[in-house]
Amino acid sequence: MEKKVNVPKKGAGRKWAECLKKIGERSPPEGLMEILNQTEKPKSEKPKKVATPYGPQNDLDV
Amino acid sequence: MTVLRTVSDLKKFLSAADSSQGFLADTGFLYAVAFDDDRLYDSANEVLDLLADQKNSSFCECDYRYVDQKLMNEWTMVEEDLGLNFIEIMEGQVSDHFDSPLAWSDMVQVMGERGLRGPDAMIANLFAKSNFPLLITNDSDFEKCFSDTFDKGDDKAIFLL
Repeated sequence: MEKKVNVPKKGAGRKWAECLKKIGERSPPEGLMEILNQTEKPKSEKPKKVATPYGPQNDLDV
Repeated sequence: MTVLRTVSDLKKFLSAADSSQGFLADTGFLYAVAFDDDRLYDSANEVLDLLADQKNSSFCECDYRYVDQKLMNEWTMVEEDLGLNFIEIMEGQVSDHFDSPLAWSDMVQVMGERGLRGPDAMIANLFAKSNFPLLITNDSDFEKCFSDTFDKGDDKAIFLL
Protein backbone atom coordinates (compact mmCIF):
# COMPACT_ATOMS: atom_id res chain seq x y z
CA MET A 1 0.00 0.00 0.00
CA GLU A 2 1.39 3.41 -0.94
CA LYS A 3 2.13 5.66 2.01
CA LYS A 4 0.10 8.88 2.20
CA VAL A 5 2.27 11.96 1.61
CA ASN A 6 1.12 15.26 3.11
CA VAL A 7 1.46 18.35 0.92
CA PRO A 8 1.34 21.87 2.42
CA LYS A 9 -1.66 24.15 1.96
CA LYS A 10 -1.17 27.84 1.30
CA GLY A 11 -1.60 29.99 4.41
CA ALA A 12 -1.52 26.94 6.68
CA GLY A 13 1.37 28.29 8.74
CA ARG A 14 -0.45 31.49 9.71
CA LYS A 15 -3.60 29.49 10.44
CA TRP A 16 -1.60 27.23 12.73
CA ALA A 17 -0.05 30.21 14.53
CA GLU A 18 -3.58 31.48 15.29
CA CYS A 19 -4.62 28.03 16.47
CA LEU A 20 -1.60 27.80 18.79
CA LYS A 21 -2.51 31.15 20.34
CA LYS A 22 -5.99 29.82 21.15
CA ILE A 23 -4.52 26.63 22.62
CA GLY A 24 -2.19 28.79 24.73
CA GLU A 25 -5.18 30.65 26.19
CA ARG A 26 -6.76 27.41 27.46
CA SER A 27 -6.15 26.61 31.09
CA PRO A 28 -3.65 23.80 31.54
CA PRO A 29 -5.00 20.31 32.25
CA GLU A 30 -5.90 19.94 35.94
CA GLY A 31 -4.10 16.63 36.29
CA LEU A 32 -0.89 18.07 34.92
CA MET A 33 -1.02 21.05 37.30
CA GLU A 34 -1.55 18.71 40.25
CA ILE A 35 1.57 16.79 39.28
CA LEU A 36 3.60 20.00 38.80
CA ASN A 37 2.41 21.47 42.10
CA GLN A 38 2.79 18.11 43.84
CA THR A 39 -0.81 18.27 45.04
CA GLU A 40 -1.83 15.08 43.29
CA LYS A 41 -4.66 13.27 45.07
CA PRO A 42 -4.17 9.57 45.83
CA LYS A 43 -5.97 7.38 43.30
CA SER A 44 -7.84 5.48 46.02
CA GLU A 45 -9.46 7.08 49.05
CA LYS A 46 -9.30 3.78 50.98
CA PRO A 47 -6.67 3.75 53.74
CA LYS A 48 -3.56 1.83 52.89
CA LYS A 49 -3.31 -1.66 54.33
CA VAL A 50 -0.24 -1.82 56.48
CA ALA A 51 1.14 -4.97 58.05
CA THR A 52 0.36 -4.83 61.78
CA PRO A 53 0.97 -7.12 64.74
CA TYR A 54 -2.03 -9.01 66.17
CA GLY A 55 -4.56 -6.78 67.92
CA PRO A 56 -5.15 -6.87 71.73
CA GLN A 57 -8.01 -9.42 71.45
CA ASN A 58 -5.65 -11.89 69.82
CA ASP A 59 -3.06 -11.26 72.52
CA LEU A 60 -5.67 -12.25 75.13
CA ASP A 61 -6.42 -15.48 73.28
CA VAL A 62 -2.75 -16.34 73.28
CA MET B 1 26.70 22.61 -1.74
CA THR B 2 24.80 25.80 -2.42
CA VAL B 3 23.74 28.14 0.35
CA LEU B 4 20.49 29.97 -0.37
CA ARG B 5 19.78 33.09 1.64
CA THR B 6 16.80 34.75 -0.01
CA VAL B 7 13.37 33.56 -1.10
CA SER B 8 14.15 34.52 -4.70
CA ASP B 9 17.27 32.28 -4.56
CA LEU B 10 15.05 29.52 -3.23
CA LYS B 11 12.49 30.03 -6.03
CA LYS B 12 15.24 29.63 -8.63
CA PHE B 13 16.57 26.51 -6.92
CA LEU B 14 13.10 24.94 -6.65
CA SER B 15 12.36 25.55 -10.31
CA ALA B 16 15.47 23.58 -11.30
CA ALA B 17 15.59 20.95 -8.53
CA ASP B 18 14.08 17.48 -8.55
CA SER B 19 11.33 17.98 -6.00
CA SER B 20 9.85 14.49 -6.24
CA GLN B 21 11.52 13.48 -2.98
CA GLY B 22 10.30 16.52 -1.03
CA PHE B 23 12.59 18.58 1.16
CA LEU B 24 14.06 18.26 4.62
CA ALA B 25 13.20 20.82 7.29
CA ASP B 26 14.34 20.96 10.89
CA THR B 27 12.30 21.96 13.92
CA GLY B 28 13.64 25.52 13.74
CA PHE B 29 11.57 25.96 10.58
CA LEU B 30 8.45 24.70 12.35
CA TYR B 31 8.98 27.08 15.28
CA ALA B 32 9.42 29.99 12.87
CA VAL B 33 6.22 29.06 11.02
CA ALA B 34 4.21 28.65 14.21
CA PHE B 35 4.98 31.68 16.36
CA ASP B 36 4.16 35.15 15.10
CA ASP B 37 6.53 36.77 17.60
CA ASP B 38 9.45 34.90 16.01
CA ARG B 39 11.66 37.20 13.92
CA LEU B 40 11.61 34.59 11.15
CA TYR B 41 7.81 34.17 11.16
CA ASP B 42 7.14 36.07 7.92
CA SER B 43 10.00 34.59 5.93
CA ALA B 44 9.23 31.05 7.15
CA ASN B 45 5.59 31.41 6.11
CA GLU B 46 6.65 32.83 2.76
CA VAL B 47 8.77 29.71 2.23
CA LEU B 48 5.90 27.42 3.28
CA ASP B 49 3.55 29.17 0.85
CA LEU B 50 6.15 28.77 -1.89
CA LEU B 51 6.33 25.03 -1.18
CA ALA B 52 2.51 24.91 -1.20
CA ASP B 53 2.40 26.63 -4.62
CA GLN B 54 4.76 24.01 -5.97
CA LYS B 55 3.04 21.14 -4.12
CA ASN B 56 6.31 20.14 -2.43
CA SER B 57 6.12 18.16 0.74
CA SER B 58 8.43 18.70 3.69
CA PHE B 59 10.04 15.93 5.69
CA CYS B 60 10.99 16.54 9.28
CA GLU B 61 13.47 14.74 11.44
CA CYS B 62 11.72 15.62 14.69
CA ASP B 63 9.67 13.03 16.57
CA TYR B 64 5.94 13.41 17.04
CA ARG B 65 5.38 10.33 19.19
CA TYR B 66 5.59 12.32 22.38
CA VAL B 67 2.60 14.52 21.50
CA ASP B 68 0.07 14.07 24.28
CA GLN B 69 -3.20 12.37 23.37
CA LYS B 70 -5.06 15.61 24.16
CA LEU B 71 -3.25 17.37 21.31
CA MET B 72 -3.29 14.48 18.85
CA ASN B 73 -6.26 15.80 16.83
CA GLU B 74 -4.67 19.22 16.44
CA TRP B 75 -1.35 17.63 15.56
CA THR B 76 -2.85 15.44 12.84
CA MET B 77 -4.41 18.54 11.26
CA VAL B 78 -1.07 20.34 11.47
CA GLU B 79 0.69 17.48 9.70
CA GLU B 80 -1.86 17.52 6.87
CA ASP B 81 -2.08 21.30 6.51
CA LEU B 82 1.64 22.04 6.72
CA GLY B 83 2.52 19.05 4.53
CA LEU B 84 4.70 17.39 7.15
CA ASN B 85 5.95 13.86 6.78
CA PHE B 86 8.15 12.37 9.45
CA ILE B 87 11.21 10.30 8.70
CA GLU B 88 11.27 7.02 10.52
CA ILE B 89 14.36 4.97 9.88
CA MET B 90 16.41 2.64 12.05
CA GLU B 91 20.16 2.15 12.29
CA GLY B 92 21.51 0.41 9.19
CA GLN B 93 18.25 0.61 7.22
CA VAL B 94 17.67 2.06 3.75
CA SER B 95 14.41 3.48 2.40
CA ASP B 96 13.04 5.54 -0.50
CA HIS B 97 14.91 8.53 0.89
CA PHE B 98 18.19 6.80 1.72
CA ASP B 99 20.25 4.85 -0.80
CA SER B 100 22.96 4.05 1.71
CA PRO B 101 22.29 2.78 5.24
CA LEU B 102 22.09 5.39 7.94
CA ALA B 103 24.74 4.55 10.52
CA TRP B 104 25.03 5.80 14.08
CA SER B 105 28.85 5.66 13.81
CA ASP B 106 28.76 8.14 10.90
CA MET B 107 26.82 10.57 13.07
CA VAL B 108 29.38 10.21 15.87
CA GLN B 109 32.14 10.87 13.32
CA VAL B 110 30.37 14.08 12.24
CA MET B 111 30.24 15.18 15.89
CA GLY B 112 33.95 14.56 16.33
CA GLU B 113 35.10 16.13 13.08
CA ARG B 114 32.91 19.19 13.16
CA GLY B 115 32.21 19.79 16.80
CA LEU B 116 28.44 19.65 16.36
CA ARG B 117 26.03 18.74 19.14
CA GLY B 118 24.36 15.33 18.82
CA PRO B 119 20.99 16.57 17.47
CA ASP B 120 22.68 18.81 14.89
CA ALA B 121 25.04 16.01 13.87
CA MET B 122 22.02 13.73 13.39
CA ILE B 123 20.41 16.24 11.03
CA ALA B 124 23.70 16.81 9.18
CA ASN B 125 24.34 13.08 8.75
CA LEU B 126 20.73 12.38 7.79
CA PHE B 127 20.72 15.14 5.17
CA ALA B 128 24.10 14.09 3.75
CA LYS B 129 23.01 10.45 3.38
CA SER B 130 19.55 11.22 2.02
CA ASN B 131 18.20 11.96 -1.44
CA PHE B 132 16.69 15.25 -0.28
CA PRO B 133 18.07 18.09 -2.38
CA LEU B 134 17.30 20.84 0.12
CA LEU B 135 17.54 21.45 3.86
CA ILE B 136 15.47 24.33 5.26
CA THR B 137 16.84 25.52 8.59
CA ASN B 138 17.43 28.56 10.76
CA ASP B 139 20.75 27.21 12.06
CA SER B 140 23.75 28.78 10.35
CA ASP B 141 26.08 26.13 11.81
CA PHE B 142 24.97 23.84 8.99
CA GLU B 143 26.46 26.20 6.42
CA LYS B 144 29.98 25.63 7.78
CA CYS B 145 29.30 21.96 8.32
CA PHE B 146 28.47 21.23 4.68
CA SER B 147 31.01 23.54 3.11
CA ASP B 148 33.58 20.94 2.15
CA THR B 149 33.78 17.20 2.46
CA PHE B 150 30.35 15.58 2.43
CA ASP B 151 30.32 13.25 -0.58
CA LYS B 152 26.88 13.97 -1.96
CA GLY B 153 27.04 17.66 -1.27
CA ASP B 154 27.41 19.03 -4.78
CA ASP B 155 23.80 18.94 -5.93
CA LYS B 156 22.35 19.84 -2.56
CA ALA B 157 21.43 23.19 -1.07
CA ILE B 158 20.70 24.69 2.33
CA PHE B 159 18.17 27.45 2.71
CA LEU B 160 18.98 29.59 5.75
CA LEU B 161 15.95 31.41 7.06
